[in-house]
Amino acid sequence: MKEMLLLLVGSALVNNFVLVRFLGICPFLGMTRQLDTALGMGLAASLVLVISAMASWLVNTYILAVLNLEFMQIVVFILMIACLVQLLEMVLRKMMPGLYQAMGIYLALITTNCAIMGIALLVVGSGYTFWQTTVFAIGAGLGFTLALVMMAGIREELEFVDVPPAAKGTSLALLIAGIMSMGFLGFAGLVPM
Amino acid sequence: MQKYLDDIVRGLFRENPTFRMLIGMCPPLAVTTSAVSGLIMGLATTAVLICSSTLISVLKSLIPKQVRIPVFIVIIATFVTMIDLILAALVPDVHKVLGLFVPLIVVNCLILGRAEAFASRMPVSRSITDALGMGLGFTWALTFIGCIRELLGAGTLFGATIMGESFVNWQIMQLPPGAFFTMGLIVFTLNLIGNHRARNVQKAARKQIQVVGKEG
Amino acid sequence: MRDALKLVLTLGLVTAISGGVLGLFYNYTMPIVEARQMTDMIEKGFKGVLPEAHTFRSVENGQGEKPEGVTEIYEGLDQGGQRIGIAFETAAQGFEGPIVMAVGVDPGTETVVGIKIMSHTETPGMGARIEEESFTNQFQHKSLADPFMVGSDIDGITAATISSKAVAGTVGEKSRQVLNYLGYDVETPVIQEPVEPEPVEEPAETEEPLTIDMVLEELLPQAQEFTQLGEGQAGMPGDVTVIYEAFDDQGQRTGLAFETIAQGYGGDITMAVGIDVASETLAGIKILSHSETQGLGSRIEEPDFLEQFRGKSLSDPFAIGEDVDGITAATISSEAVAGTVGTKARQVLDYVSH
Repeated sequence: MKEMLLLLVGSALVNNFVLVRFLGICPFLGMTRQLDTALGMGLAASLVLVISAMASWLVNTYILAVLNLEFMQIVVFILMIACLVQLLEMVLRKMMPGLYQAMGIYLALITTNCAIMGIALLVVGSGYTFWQTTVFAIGAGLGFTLALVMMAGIREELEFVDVPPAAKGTSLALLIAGIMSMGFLGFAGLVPM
Repeated sequence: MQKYLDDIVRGLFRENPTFRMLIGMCPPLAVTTSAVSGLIMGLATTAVLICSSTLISVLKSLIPKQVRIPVFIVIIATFVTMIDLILAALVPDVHKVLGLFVPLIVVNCLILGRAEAFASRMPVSRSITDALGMGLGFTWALTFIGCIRELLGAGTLFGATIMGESFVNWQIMQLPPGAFFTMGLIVFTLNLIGNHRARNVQKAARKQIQVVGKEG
Repeated sequence: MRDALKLVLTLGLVTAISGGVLGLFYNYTMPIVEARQMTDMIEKGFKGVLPEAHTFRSVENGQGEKPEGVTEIYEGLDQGGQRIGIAFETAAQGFEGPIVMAVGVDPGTETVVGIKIMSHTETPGMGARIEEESFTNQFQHKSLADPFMVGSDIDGITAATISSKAVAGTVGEKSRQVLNYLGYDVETPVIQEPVEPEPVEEPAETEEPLTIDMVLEELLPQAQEFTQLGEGQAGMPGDVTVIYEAFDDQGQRTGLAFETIAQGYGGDITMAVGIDVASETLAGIKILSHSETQGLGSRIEEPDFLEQFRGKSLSDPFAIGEDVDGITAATISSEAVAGTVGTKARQVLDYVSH
């Protein structure tokens, strides 16, 4: 139990996907102008992160490893993610139209998000068990959402601040991200690795 | 001829993917702890970009419109796997540093973006020059960031010691925050230059209007 | 429907072609990659853990199953072709993923000759410190009859317990298994449960707080006799609580030792400082107690930092970044220690000589 908790904290805070591992920078810079958008994107991505982490673990362990086709990982995973996202979109539209309304538009953007592909490759390279993979992915999703929401909160506040015109937009966002990343480095002492 | 040259120059500067269009931002932040890893990552991406653009441009009439994106992705993924294996065989040390980010070339928006916007519409020769320009633009951007971070973070450049004995390494430059800061300041500087130019153009235009006004 | 079928067929065809091409390519490159990795392992790993071996030869056969998790076993031969040791590659499960290492064992004496961490994905500055020699050197010439447990016979790395435990346990277990597999008979030691369920990370903190009396001899090893100058005496420099004078066997005063307090980031840092009177240099310093952050400020306790003060002239500036190397991410603590040591040592010397 304790190990699992450490894994969760480790993947959410210590090795935050966005601020420490640099995965999913595009939505982090592009979709954090408003808090609602950031939250929607964060939750949709978390959902896909967890599903694709579990799916890639299963596919790798029971199909690719058995058939000695590990060199096909990249091709198989990217196709698998594309299919999963399509499937998820259909299921959500049928079963939970409310949620689909809120999340649907983000789902389409997620296929080529490097955080999703990244977690698929990370879990097969790490030697985790299935449950460890799941916890790791939940942590990754939480960390991703946290980073996006924090960023959006700061940027909303900064909207009306008088900054040099050249710093507006991406430049300022990157500098803020740098400061946030420094803060997250401090979490390194949190988990007794 | 002019067209081809223009393709290359456009990718290098005016539409530089990293500094101007700000797409595919993960590698420029993640693998630029040293100039060499930036350079190799850039070249690997360029190789994938040229190969996939060429093949897609050749096959464009054969691929049914509805599945073109998945087919593009499979083609790109195939080349990425090859580059991954080649790097592991030729430069294992750098391959270890780049780690996850070599396979992640597959989701670099730059590549799919060029396939969709350029290679699937243009003749093969133009697709190659366009890919070359974009790829080299990406490469020099990554190398440049790598140089800054390596010089300040470790006092070296391509492994050779540059800073004197008394230089204290700015260790933060090698850590994740350093990547964000470097990139943020570069974008800031480019915006400054861009704004300055825009003002000059405006001034010039205003002058012309005045001249025209007088003549009229 | 026909359209959908056509699409699926196209995509399937493309994927199949991709698989075929990659399969060929993989079969062509993989032997090269593996050969490169193996040369790398021998050059950087095995030669480091069995430095006396002249050549290495792969060992293919043994008794029973090859131990799980051991990927390569090589024997190290001397110039006459005599087997002088076994080197093998194995991986421990770290916090973030596998930690690949090379281990050298001497079957004759049943000891580990050395280990080297080849690759890992642990967090820089924390788990990644398993790479440091101060950790890996503990395994040199270590008997396989030892339990290989962090906290009992191996000092773990602060804030990296999981990684250090994983390395220590794997080295012991796999070394025994490999030797048994090769036909040597190595007993697995009966491992007593450690007294504390959790390994002690900072032994100094759980034991009695250290006082200067306990470390006097460590600070000034040459001295024969110590006399205390009296506590709280008037005129003593501020923040200096105790001063000892040290004498050699002729009754000559050779050194001074005193206890003082620096203002750290997390509170007071109490330390003992030894001075060599004749040369006006520091004989050494020792941290007695502190409340700095684990893994950050607490690294002022490490020998790497403290050793810098040994033999240091009192006329030096004692400034971090100038003549003392600070600890990354613990600038306040390191500055406090360095500055206080310098100032107080000068004051104490001044005070005693008047």
